Amino acid sequence: MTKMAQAAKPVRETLLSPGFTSRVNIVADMLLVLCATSISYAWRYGFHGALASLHSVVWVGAALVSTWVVAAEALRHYEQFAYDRSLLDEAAMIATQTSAAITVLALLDLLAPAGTPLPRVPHLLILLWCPAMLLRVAVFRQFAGREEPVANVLIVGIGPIARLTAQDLRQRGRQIIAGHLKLQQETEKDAGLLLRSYGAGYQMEIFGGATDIEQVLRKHPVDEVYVAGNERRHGDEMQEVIRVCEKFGVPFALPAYAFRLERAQAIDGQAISDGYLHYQTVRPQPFALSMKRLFDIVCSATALWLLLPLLLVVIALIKFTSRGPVFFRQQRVGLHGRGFAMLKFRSMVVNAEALKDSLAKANEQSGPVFKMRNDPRVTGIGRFIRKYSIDELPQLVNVLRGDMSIVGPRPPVAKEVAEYDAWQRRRLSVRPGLTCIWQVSGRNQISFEDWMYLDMQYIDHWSLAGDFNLIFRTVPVVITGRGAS
Amino acid sequence: MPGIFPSALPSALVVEDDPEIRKLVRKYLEKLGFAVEEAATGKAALAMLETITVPAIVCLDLMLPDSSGYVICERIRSLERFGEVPVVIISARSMPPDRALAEEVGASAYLIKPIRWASFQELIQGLTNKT
Repeated sequence: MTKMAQAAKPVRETLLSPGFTSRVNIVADMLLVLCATSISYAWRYGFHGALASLHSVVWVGAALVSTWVVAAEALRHYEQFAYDRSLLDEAAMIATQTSAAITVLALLDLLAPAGTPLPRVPHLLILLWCPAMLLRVAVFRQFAGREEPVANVLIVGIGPIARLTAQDLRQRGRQIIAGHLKLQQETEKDAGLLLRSYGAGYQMEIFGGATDIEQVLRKHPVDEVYVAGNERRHGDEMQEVIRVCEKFGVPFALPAYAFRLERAQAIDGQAISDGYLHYQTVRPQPFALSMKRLFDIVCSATALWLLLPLLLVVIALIKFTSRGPVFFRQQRVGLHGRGFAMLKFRSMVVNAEALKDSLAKANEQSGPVFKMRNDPRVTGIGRFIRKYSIDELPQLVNVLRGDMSIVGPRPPVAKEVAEYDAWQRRRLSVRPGLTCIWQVSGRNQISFEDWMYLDMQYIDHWSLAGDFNLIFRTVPVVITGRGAS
Repeated sequence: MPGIFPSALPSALVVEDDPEIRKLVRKYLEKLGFAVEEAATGKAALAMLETITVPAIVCLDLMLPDSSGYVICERIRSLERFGEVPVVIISARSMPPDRALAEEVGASAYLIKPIRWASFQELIQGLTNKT
């Protein structure tokens, strides 16, 4: 109906893989800070002077790079939404990162023994801020717009507001619209208009009525539900949708206002920049979560590097003691029900999954999970690497990739998820992890239901400090092999 | 041929309180061959609705000093003689709840400020050729 319909973006042929921009951006920034440091040394001491103080260049460079990355993560500079910020915001963010780096340089100047070669503040300021801003605006913001969307969105409603919301989302191109659910009183005419607004090149699907939301959320990975109804007319149905979303732990968005606002504007316009109020069932702690991700990346990369000798030995042992591949890739269910291949060292014989059903009687874990002591499918080396959880180490790769986190509820298999009670689905509202409360609480001695309660406890009371606490408590459990089968 | 038979020109009603934007919309509409009638306030617009011949298109600003585009639009839709005249609501508010509201009061299209010639032309021509 509005002309916005025709303005919808056509489907692009070549899209960048999701997260590509931020990965390249982070590496480019690190190199940039390193280069800026070197050049500012050369600027002050000349080329040969800089070469003579290479030792300082390296240390100061490392300090500035880490400062930059930590500051940028705290500002959520590399997250997807950040590439949509206004240019002024962008300039301010980069200025903040630059001043963090400059502050560290000033501190080094104060603390370092007299005569330590250090770059001059104005030089570094110019060399950092300008190129970083230029790179961001000219390169990475352009890249970001061409990334394949990853987030799945479900729109409840097919009426005007739902249609306009779908248009908006398609134009932004950051989310995939999984489909729509129909509200009562919405008609065939609404469906027709909606279909037309999608136009060629976009798939439109109506899964059913709003009351079918539970089945839809069980079947499709959904990262956010847009409850695109009118509170005055669809109040009861919207309330029901919200109840299911809260139970499942799926973030949802409500229209910012159901009333006719002719003049009034929200005082915090940023909070409703797309006309919706966004809610999630986990406490919104964007900075802490951003730090968690940074910690995951640094930690998993470092651990993989440090453990390389051990990993190589294990790989060799698996390869030479039994037939089959080194790694066992198992489909697990991750954040918001999205599947991913979780990596493990293979500790069982090759056709283990097929043998599982014949062993179902011997299951020693209550609920839909299969656990068994003295499982006959485990290989010799398998028993050892399982006892010390070495078989789990390849998941550091999953952490690095972003499928998982170091700390978080263990990722379940699809079959378990299918048997979950509605409230247990909320386990999937956070990134799964290598270790969680369950792992440090005696594992297999705990019933399935208590395990679920422990995970909810983790999700509802999450904090960065709590994560570190769990990591420290995991270490002795792993070393003694307590609770593992 | 615009200009030769001025009385034969289709007319357009523009309700907009900002003189700059009113001037711009008038310019654009005249370029498209409309004879433009203007109102700067809700009061003036409501009064005009009773007297003027039914225009070929109506452009309504959402925020009027004494009223709003929604109110004018509702009034137009309640007047039988105006029939299905296309009504465009022009506003800087661009979010789905606002645009959905415009549809609910019977607006035919929603144009987000700032107004650009290309999109304005496409929109107006699309709406007036249909009727």
